[in-house]
Amino acid sequence: MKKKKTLSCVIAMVLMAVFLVGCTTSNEPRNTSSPDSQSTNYQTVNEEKPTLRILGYNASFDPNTDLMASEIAKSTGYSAEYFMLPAENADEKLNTELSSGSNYDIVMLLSSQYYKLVGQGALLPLDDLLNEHGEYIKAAVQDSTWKACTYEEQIYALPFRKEYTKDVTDFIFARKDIIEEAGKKIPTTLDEFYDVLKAIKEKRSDLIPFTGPNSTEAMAGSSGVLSPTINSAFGIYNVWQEVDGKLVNMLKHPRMKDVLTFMNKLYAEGLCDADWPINTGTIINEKFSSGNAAMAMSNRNTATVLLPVIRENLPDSELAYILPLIGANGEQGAKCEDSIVVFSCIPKNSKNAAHAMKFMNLKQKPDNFLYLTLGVEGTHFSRDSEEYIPIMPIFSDERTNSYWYLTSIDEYNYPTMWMSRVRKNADMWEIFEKVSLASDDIAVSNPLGYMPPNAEISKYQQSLDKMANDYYLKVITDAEPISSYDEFVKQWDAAGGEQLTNEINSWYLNYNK
Amino acid sequence: MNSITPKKTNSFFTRIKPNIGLYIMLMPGLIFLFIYKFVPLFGLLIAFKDFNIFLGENPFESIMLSPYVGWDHFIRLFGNPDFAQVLKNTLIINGYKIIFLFPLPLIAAIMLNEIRQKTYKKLIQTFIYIPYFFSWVVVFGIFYSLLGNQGIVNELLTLMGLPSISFFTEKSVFRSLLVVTEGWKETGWYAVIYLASITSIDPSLYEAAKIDGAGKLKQIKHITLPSLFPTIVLLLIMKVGYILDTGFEQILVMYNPTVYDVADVIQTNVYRKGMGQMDFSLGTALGLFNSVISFILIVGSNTISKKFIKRSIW
Amino acid sequence: MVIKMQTYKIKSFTKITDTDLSGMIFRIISYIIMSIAGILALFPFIHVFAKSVSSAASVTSGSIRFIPIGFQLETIQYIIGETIYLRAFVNTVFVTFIGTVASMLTTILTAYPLSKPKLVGRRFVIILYIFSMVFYGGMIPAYMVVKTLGLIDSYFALILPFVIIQFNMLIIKNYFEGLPESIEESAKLDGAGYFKILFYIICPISKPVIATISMLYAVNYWNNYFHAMLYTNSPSLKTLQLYLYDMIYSSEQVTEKIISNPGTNICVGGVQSASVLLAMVPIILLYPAVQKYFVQGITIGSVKG
Repeated sequence: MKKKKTLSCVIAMVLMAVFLVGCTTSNEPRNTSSPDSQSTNYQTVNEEKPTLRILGYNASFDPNTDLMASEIAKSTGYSAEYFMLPAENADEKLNTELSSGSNYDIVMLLSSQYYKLVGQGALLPLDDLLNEHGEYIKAAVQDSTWKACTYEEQIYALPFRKEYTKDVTDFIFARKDIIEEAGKKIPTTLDEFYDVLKAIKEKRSDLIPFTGPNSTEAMAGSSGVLSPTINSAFGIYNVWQEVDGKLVNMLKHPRMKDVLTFMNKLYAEGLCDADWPINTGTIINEKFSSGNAAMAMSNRNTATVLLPVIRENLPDSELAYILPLIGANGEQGAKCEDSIVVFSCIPKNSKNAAHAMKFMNLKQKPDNFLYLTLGVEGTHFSRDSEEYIPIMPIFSDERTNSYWYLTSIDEYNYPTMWMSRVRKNADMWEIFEKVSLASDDIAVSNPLGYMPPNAEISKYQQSLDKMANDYYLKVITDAEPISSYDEFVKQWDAAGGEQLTNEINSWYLNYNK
Repeated sequence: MNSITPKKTNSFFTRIKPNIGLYIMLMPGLIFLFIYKFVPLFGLLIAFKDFNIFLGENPFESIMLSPYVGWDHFIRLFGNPDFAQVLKNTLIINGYKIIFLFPLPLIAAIMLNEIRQKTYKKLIQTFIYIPYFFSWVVVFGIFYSLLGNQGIVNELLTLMGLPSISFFTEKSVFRSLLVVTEGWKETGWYAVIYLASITSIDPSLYEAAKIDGAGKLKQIKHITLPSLFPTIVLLLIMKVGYILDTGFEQILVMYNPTVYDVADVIQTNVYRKGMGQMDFSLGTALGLFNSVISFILIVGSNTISKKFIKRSIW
Repeated sequence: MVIKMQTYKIKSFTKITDTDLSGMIFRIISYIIMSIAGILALFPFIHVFAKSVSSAASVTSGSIRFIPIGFQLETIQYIIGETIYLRAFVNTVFVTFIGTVASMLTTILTAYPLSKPKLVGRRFVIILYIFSMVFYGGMIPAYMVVKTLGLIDSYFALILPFVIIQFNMLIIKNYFEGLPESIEESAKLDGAGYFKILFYIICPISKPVIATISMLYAVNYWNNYFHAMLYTNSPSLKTLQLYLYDMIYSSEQVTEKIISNPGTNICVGGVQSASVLLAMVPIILLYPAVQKYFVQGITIGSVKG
C-alpha cells in the first residue's frame, strides 16, 4: 500500500514538473545580451535592434554555437537566433511553418523552395528595402543576377550566386594502372573509351569495367543515370539545351536514341555494371575504392573523399580523371552551372523587415564580407599575387561553416576568394585543376541557370526528371526495348513535359531578345 | 391509491450510476481522442479542395478559402493508368506478407517458451527483437551486401558453379525479397507481444494436462493456443485492415525501376508522380481512400470473427 | 556418495525427458531454430557495430563483414562530442520516461472500463478508438491543433499528441477481458470502488502485459522522429532521433568535414552506422530490464473455485 502511495506521489510530482517545464520552454523570446558596441562604421539606428530570427537549410552543426554566429553579431551589431530545417521533409516543415505565422525574419531557401513560395505569395518584395538600406548589396550583385530573383517585376530574394560559374565537377574516375595493364591509354574519344572497356573486360574479367548511379538522388550533384562524360560525345551537354533555336530536354535531343543504344550495347556486352539499377552512391564508392570497379562516374567532392581511402586500400593504384569524351564529329562539352545557390528572402509576415535588410547589408560591407568569409589576412589566409592561400588548420576551424550564413556574395571578388576554400584540401585542388580548369574551354553553361521562378515549371520538373531517368535505366538494362522510345516521349509529354517545354521556351525567347 | 409502482430498475441512469467510476476513468482518454484525433479530421476537407496553404493568414483559413473541387482528386487517383497495376501489387504483396509472416511470431513465441535456461532465453529474446529497430535504409544496406550481385550469397553460388541470382532486379524474386526482409525485421517484435500472454498462462493448467497424459504438442494445442486466441484474432484483424497501407517505406528504399511492374504500390506511385509538387490534396485524398477501405475491412473481419468464432473487438 | 550422485544424475535426466517423445523433439527443434534465429538477428547488429568503429578506408570500400578493421573511436567521438548530443540524449530520456508513465496511466484507465462487457456505451467508445486509429486528418491540421494550444516547442508537444496508441489499448483491454471476474468479486463485496480494484488487484496480476506495453510505448517515444521534427524548432529541444537523423542524412556535411580534415577517420558510412547504433542501444538495453516481469505463472490461481 505504502509503495503505491509513494509511487503515485512521485508520478504526480513528475507530471507537475512537466507542466511547469513545458510552459516555460515555449515560444519565449530569448534574452539577448546587448550587441557588442564594437559595431561597424555604419550609422546605427536609434531604435533598439531586435534579435532576428533566421531559418536555413539543414546542416549538421549548431548554427547558434558556431563561432560564425558571434563573428557576425560582432560585425553587424545584430544578434540573431538561427534555426534549421530538418534533413528530411524539409519542404513540408517549411510550408507549415511559414503559413502558420512563425515569424521568421529571414529564410534562406534552396531554389525549388524559393520557386514555390514566391509563386504562392509567401514572401515580401524587397525593392524598396534594397533602395533604402541595401547599398552594399546592390554594389556587390550584378544586374544579370537580379533578373533571376525577379518575379512579376519585383525582387523577392537576395542571391547567393554560385561562386565559380565555370566549375566543371563531373568526370569518370579511372584506374590508370588497370587501363595500362590492359595495354591502353586514357581515352579521349568515344571509340577509345569503348576499346578501353573491351580491353579491360578481356584482361581482367574479375572486374566491373564501368559503374554509375541509378538515379539523380544516388550521388549528390549527379545529373542522373547517364554520364555527362559520355553524353559529351553525342553533343549533349546539359539536361536542357538549344536545338534549332529552341530548348529541348535531353530526352528529346535528336541524338538521345544513340546514347541509349550505346549504353545498352555496353550493358549487353558486360562492359558496364550489371547491377546498375541498384547502385546508390555508397555502393558505387564501395565498388571503386575496393578495387572491384575499374572506372566509375564521379564528381569532385566524392572523389576527394575517396582518394585517401583508395590510397590506403590499393596502395599500388594510380588514378586518372577522364574528361568529356570527343565524338565522331569533334563534339565535346562539359556542363557547368551559373545559377543561384541560395535565395535569402523575407517572409511577408516578418515584423523586422527593415532590420533584416540592414543586417544583410552590413554583412555585405566589403571589410565585413572578407572578414566573415575568409578571416583576417595573416591569421587565416595569406595572399600570393591574385590568389588567396588558406592557413590550415585555423582556416577550417574558424571559417568552415561560414558558407551557411551567406545571404549574398561579392560577385566580382568572391570567385577568386572561393578558390581558397578549394585549396583547403590538396586532393580537391588537384582535381579542380585537372578537371575544372582544364575544361575551361569546353564548359557549356546550363541555359536555365537564370530562369526566374515559375509555378508551372517547378511543379513538374522533379517528377519528369525522375520519369526520364527511370526510362533510361530500363532501356539500358533491357527492361524496355529501344523501340518504345517514341511512345515514351509521348507519355512524357502528356505527363507535363510538353507544358514544361513550352513554358521554358516562352521564357527563353524573351530572355534572349 | 396506495399501489406501489415498481421503480423502473433498468432506466438509463440507474444503469450508469454505479459505474460512474468507470466513466470517469474513460474521460482522459476521450479528451485526448477528441482534441488530438478528431479535431484534426477537419483536414480531410483538403482532399476535396484545391489546397493552397498560403491563401489565408493561417492554414485553417487557407483550408476554408481554398476552392472546392469535389471528387477531382479521387478521379485523378483512380484515373491514373497505373492504378490497376499498383492496386494489384499492393494486395498481392501484403497478402503474401500476411499469409507467410503471420504465423511466424506465434511459432517463435511458443518455441522460445521451450527454452529453459533463463539467461539463454533472455539473450535470444533480446537478439530477435533487435532488427525491429533498424530503419529500412539500414536493412536495405545489410541485405544488399548479402544478396547483391557482388554479395556474399552470390559469391557462394558462383563458387559452387551455380548462376548468380539478381535478387534486387529480378521480377520473379523481388516480391519474395520484400516478404523475407519484413519477416526478418518484424517477427521478433510481434513475438514479444505473444510472449507476454504466454507467460501469464496459469502453469497449473499445464500440470493438470500432464497428469492427464497430454504430450507437449497436445498441451500447446489445447492450452497455449486457446489462451492466445484473443491476441491472435486482434492482430489478424489489424493486419487485414491495413492491407492497403503497409510497406511504403520499405518498398521505397528497396525498389528500383526494373521492378516497378511487380513492386510499385499505390503510395510509391503517388509519391513518385507527385515528387516535388507539394500536392497535399492528392496525398490527403489517397489517405482518405486508404482509411475508408481499412475501416470497412476491419469492421468486416470483426463481423466475420464475431459470427464464426464468437470473438469481437467490440 | 556414489549413490547420491547417481540419483542426481537421474533426476536431471528426467527433467529433460519429463515429457513425451514428440514433445522432446519439439523442444530440441525449438532450441535449434531459435538459436539460429537469434544469430540471424544478431549478425547485422554486429555488422553495424563493426562499421561504426572501423577505419574510413575499410568502411567506404565495403570491406567490413563482422570484424572491425582499423579500430577507431573517432566517429563515435564525433557524434557524441557535439554539444547538442548530450542535450538531445537527456531530452529523449526525459520524454520517454514521462511519456511512458503518462501513456500507461491513460491507457490502463481506458482499457479497464472497456473490458467490462456490460458497460453502457462500451461498443460506441471502442468504435471511436478504432475510427481514430484508421482516419488521419493530415499533418497540417495536427500541427494547427498543437499550435493553437500553444504547445509548439514544448515538451508537451512531444507527448500529448499521441499519449494513447489505440492498438496498445486494445491489447490491454483484451488481456483484462481474459481475467476471471471472480477476482474482483470479493473486493466488490468489501465495498471497494473501481479505482481501487484497478490499481490494487488488476494491475499486480497484469504485470506481463503492463511490462510489454510499457516497453512498446517507451520504444515509440524513443524512436519518434516525425512529431519531434514537426513540433519543435529550438535546438535545445532536439531529440536524439532528430539529431541522429540529421547525422545520417547529412552526408554532404560529413563530406565537407572530411575535405577540411584530410586524414580523419570519419566517413559517411561510419557516421551513419554509428548514428544507427547510438539510437538503438539504450532502448534495446531496456528490454532485458523489463524481462523479469515475464515470469511464468503469475498466480491468478490464488482465487480458485
